[in-house]
Amino acid sequence: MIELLHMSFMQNAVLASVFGGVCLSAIGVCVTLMEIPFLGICMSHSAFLGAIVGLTCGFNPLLGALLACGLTGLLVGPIADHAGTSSNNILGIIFSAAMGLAFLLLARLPGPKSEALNLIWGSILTISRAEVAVLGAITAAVVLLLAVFYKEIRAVLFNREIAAASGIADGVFYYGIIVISGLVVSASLNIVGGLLIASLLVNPANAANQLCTRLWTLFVVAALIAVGSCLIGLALSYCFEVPTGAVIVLVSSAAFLAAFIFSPRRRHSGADKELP
Amino acid sequence: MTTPATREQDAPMAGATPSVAAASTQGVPLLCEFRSVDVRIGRQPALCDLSFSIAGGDFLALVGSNGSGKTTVIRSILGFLRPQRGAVRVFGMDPAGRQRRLVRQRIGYVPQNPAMDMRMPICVRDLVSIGRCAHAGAGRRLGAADHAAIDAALAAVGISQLAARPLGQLSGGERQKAQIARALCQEPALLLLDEPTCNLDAAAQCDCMDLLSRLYTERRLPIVLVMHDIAALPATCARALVLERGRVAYDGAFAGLYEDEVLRFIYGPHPLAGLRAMRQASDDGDSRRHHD
Repeated sequence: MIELLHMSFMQNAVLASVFGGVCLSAIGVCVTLMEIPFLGICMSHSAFLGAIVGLTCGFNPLLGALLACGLTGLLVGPIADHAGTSSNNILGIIFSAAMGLAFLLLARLPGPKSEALNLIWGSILTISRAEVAVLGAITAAVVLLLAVFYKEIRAVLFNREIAAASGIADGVFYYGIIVISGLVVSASLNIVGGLLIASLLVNPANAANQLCTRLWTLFVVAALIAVGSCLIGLALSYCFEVPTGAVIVLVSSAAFLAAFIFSPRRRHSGADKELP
Repeated sequence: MTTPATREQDAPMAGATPSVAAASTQGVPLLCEFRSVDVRIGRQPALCDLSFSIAGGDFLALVGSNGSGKTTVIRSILGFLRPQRGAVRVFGMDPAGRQRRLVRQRIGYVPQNPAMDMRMPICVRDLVSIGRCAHAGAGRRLGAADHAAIDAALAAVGISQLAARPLGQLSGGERQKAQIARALCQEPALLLLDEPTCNLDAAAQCDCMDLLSRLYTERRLPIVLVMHDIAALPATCARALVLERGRVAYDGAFAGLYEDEVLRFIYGPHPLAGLRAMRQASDDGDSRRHHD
């Protein structure tokens, strides 16, 4: 196993696990607290559409995915605000439209479709050094923005109306989180694939939320769970020769289950006792 | 600015004493002014030709039935809603314009039933510190003055001992006090509270009203308090503005609220509720008359 770490594909996979785990969990904490977990699914399918447009038009699929997710991110917030409906409804509509258009283009894509389909299933072992570099740059930007604007992001995550009434530029941060989540999802698409990436957004954040009583610890613990899930999943998939993306998601789901069972927050608040 | 008290048909309200509103603006700066304001929510008119003002030192009770436009007034003051006609000025600025964040920075706002996830992992001090974010500036850490303001706000509402407690472990009354502390730590020039006693038990309601009375008495902080139950209003509240279908039905001294015609605007076809409020008012009468 150690010898494998000397091989460049495994180094790329480990780096992608670390970078992807950190940035996906950070965005996961935000979308979980904003109660728009559907954002991950919508963005992954927008990324899939963008990548297929890239393949169809002959440019880099990663660039297409980044552009499509950035555009989706710019549309979701303002449309939801002005349509008088919840962001989740708008995400559902954009998700289905993106999926329909992606399948339409996929059917018309000439030649083998394996490169496009890899975006659905994910292939962390084939991730290139350039893709790792893009993911690393996005992760650094996410961590930097989170550190600099932590108090504003905390206020917006707590309650957008209260943040606005306190004089905070709530729209900038709210829409900013949505746009950045799109970039994170599109850059991380190769780790577990479009179908499963939403779970890597939601599971570590919710597992950490069972354990933490402070917001900054929630970001740290969610990152540890996400990176741990990716690395453990990578090792297990090598040992048992099973698909990496699926194992990573199952490990993160197991982490949530364990956190739920042993949650000190749940036991202290007695939340389970309030059920009928 | 004196507001002509009007009824549904724009007829002058008998028994209103608009001189109180006028007196409150004499020699003190106007904080907020509505000039013939129309606000629609969708196609539904929420405020119709509404004119009134709030002066420094006012403790104004904003009352009326459901849908009368109380919350719309509060949201218009904050600039969340833009009038279709007329003008709203707060501290001499347009609250929905380019200077909206400057306006909001000077207003302490406690919303009605804020959609807060009480399972969110933040403590009382974190919540209160939201009030200092705009003062510190975007991307800048809170300074010593901000932390001092947070401590002072926690002490003012009597919840210093709860500073490190997670929000999910607070009672309803403690949560409301934390919200008031957040509003206070903005060091506001105007405090807006939208139904702050909503969903609180009787003791917590009294606590909340006592706190507002104390804040007004000690600091002379102008307060606009939206309430359904006029019997629960604190004795320090000297002025009342009654809204009905987005119009001013009464603007005057608090004692005038208990006139038959005004009670009808608040309680509709339920005069017994009005009578109960009057009885409650007569119990508080001595202290109320003292403040009037």
